[in-house]
Amino acid sequence: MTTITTPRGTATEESVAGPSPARTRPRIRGRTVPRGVRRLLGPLLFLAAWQIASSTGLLDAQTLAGPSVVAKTGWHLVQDGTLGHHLWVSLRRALAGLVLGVLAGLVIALVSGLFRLGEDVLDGTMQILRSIPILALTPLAILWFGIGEEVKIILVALGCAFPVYINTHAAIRGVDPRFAELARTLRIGRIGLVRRVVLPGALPGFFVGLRFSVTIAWLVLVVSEQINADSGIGFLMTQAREFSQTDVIVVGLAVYAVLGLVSNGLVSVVERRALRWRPSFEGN
Amino acid sequence: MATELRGQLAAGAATTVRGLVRAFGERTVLDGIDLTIRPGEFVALLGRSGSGKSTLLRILAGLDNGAGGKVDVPSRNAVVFQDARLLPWSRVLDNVVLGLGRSERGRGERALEEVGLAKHARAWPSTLSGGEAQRAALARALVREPELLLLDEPFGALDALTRLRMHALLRELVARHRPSVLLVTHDVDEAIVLADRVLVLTDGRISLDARVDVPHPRRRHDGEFASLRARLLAELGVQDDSDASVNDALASDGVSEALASDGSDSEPDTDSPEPNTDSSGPNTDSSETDTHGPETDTSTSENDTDSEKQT
Repeated sequence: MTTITTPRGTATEESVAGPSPARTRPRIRGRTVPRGVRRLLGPLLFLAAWQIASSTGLLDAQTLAGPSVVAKTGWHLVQDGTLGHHLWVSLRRALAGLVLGVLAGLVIALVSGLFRLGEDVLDGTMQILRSIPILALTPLAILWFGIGEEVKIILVALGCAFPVYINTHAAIRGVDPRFAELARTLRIGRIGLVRRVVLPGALPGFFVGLRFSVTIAWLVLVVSEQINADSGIGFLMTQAREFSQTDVIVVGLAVYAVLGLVSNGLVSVVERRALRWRPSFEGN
Repeated sequence: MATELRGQLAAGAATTVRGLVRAFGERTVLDGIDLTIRPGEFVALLGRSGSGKSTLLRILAGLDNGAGGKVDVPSRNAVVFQDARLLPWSRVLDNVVLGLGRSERGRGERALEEVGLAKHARAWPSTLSGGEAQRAALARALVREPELLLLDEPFGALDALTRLRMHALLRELVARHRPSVLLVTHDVDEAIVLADRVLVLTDGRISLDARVDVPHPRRRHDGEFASLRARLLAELGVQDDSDASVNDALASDGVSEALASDGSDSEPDTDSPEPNTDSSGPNTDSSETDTHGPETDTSTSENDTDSEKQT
């Protein structure tokens, strides 16, 4: 900033009064480029490098197909309906498992959070069970439920129930006791207390759990579909592995990524709407 | 130790407390309180930090069931806490009519209008200022048409200017709705400005019970105001040496005592670090000084209280 040094005093004053270095930096680098576009630069560079490595043969297709091949394969899979079919199957499983698991976690959290007896009976059990990695249950689950749809949905549901339980239960316990006191002075009764104070107060915690659950739903689904399935994105990828179709595998990865992003975005939208009373809530 | 909480009294019922005792472990906080609040009477309860004044209010509010003695409270009573305690997830109007029927929303709106918050009915509590939130809390209490209004340092967390405005509003609302009021405060001026009667709680007993005969509008520089103020501060073990005229004013006592108060048995207790029994939060009662103006310096000097007590 002090590169312009003229003999005149005014120039010195200008440079003193000029913007601080911290402010000038983005102005110089990205004067016309919006931040969102600048953030895309990294991924685009990565894609370009990948494409160049594939085209020049540095990266052979057996190891990893190039972006253009992946895009082409993806387009074919969409056109012949293969992707749509498997996507639909996976979505159904994830959604069914998520709904079941979230409901179960929520009901158990309510019983345990609202009733002393419920807490004594359920909370300890849940805390022990949650230390088991859900995927370690896969062998048992296959023995019990076979390799049909149920086993996948049940595994997803199990994975989703715990985060919702843990966070909702903690949130119910964490509701400000001063509000319970207020409820007493207003004589709104136990049902009023639950409906007007405890449940809305526990809602932020529930959403924290729900976000974890959505992530876990996909995680569990991916694994269970790769182990035993004849349909679904995971099956598509497993099948591709056997024929060394790295392009199909990458398509599957991309689909999972999109699914994860979209489902997280949906939860964000719902959350933002439900918690709009929060002053500084910025769902991301 | 069981409190007889009889709530079914006739409209405009009095509040009576007889032989109320409350102990927390070894510590007796309230040691035989007798108190009657007549219908429509505005009583201020002063006391030092940890004197048990908030405990007394909580017992009257039905929030403390561990007390012994007899308590008769009108069934329609309402509490305003130091914190506005608005549910952050309910809009202001929903907070005001919380627990009332759906048909009462109109009344809730009128109550908000009374406290000057009609425009904020649909706002979230987090968008209100401290004074606005406390006004909403007042509306929530008044919409229930209480026969007894319990105020637990309701203005303690507000700045001095807002507090003055709230005093005016409260006077206006009380004049209109005519509930009995018990105002717990540590602000002597607030007590004198608002109340018909001022009590001082010392060592678990009511050590002073004075009628406030200062005519409205009550100004701090009036002789009667100043003399009562000095008496109350002395009772609280605080010397007010900011105003020389106070001692003169003491001679011309404009206060008639409603109940004989034995000041001699309430020796100014040394500032032993008492556990704070006030439930309103860690910051409650942190300051015994009031903040109305630069001239109200109530620096605590326990040694000088005896000279003040001679009156």
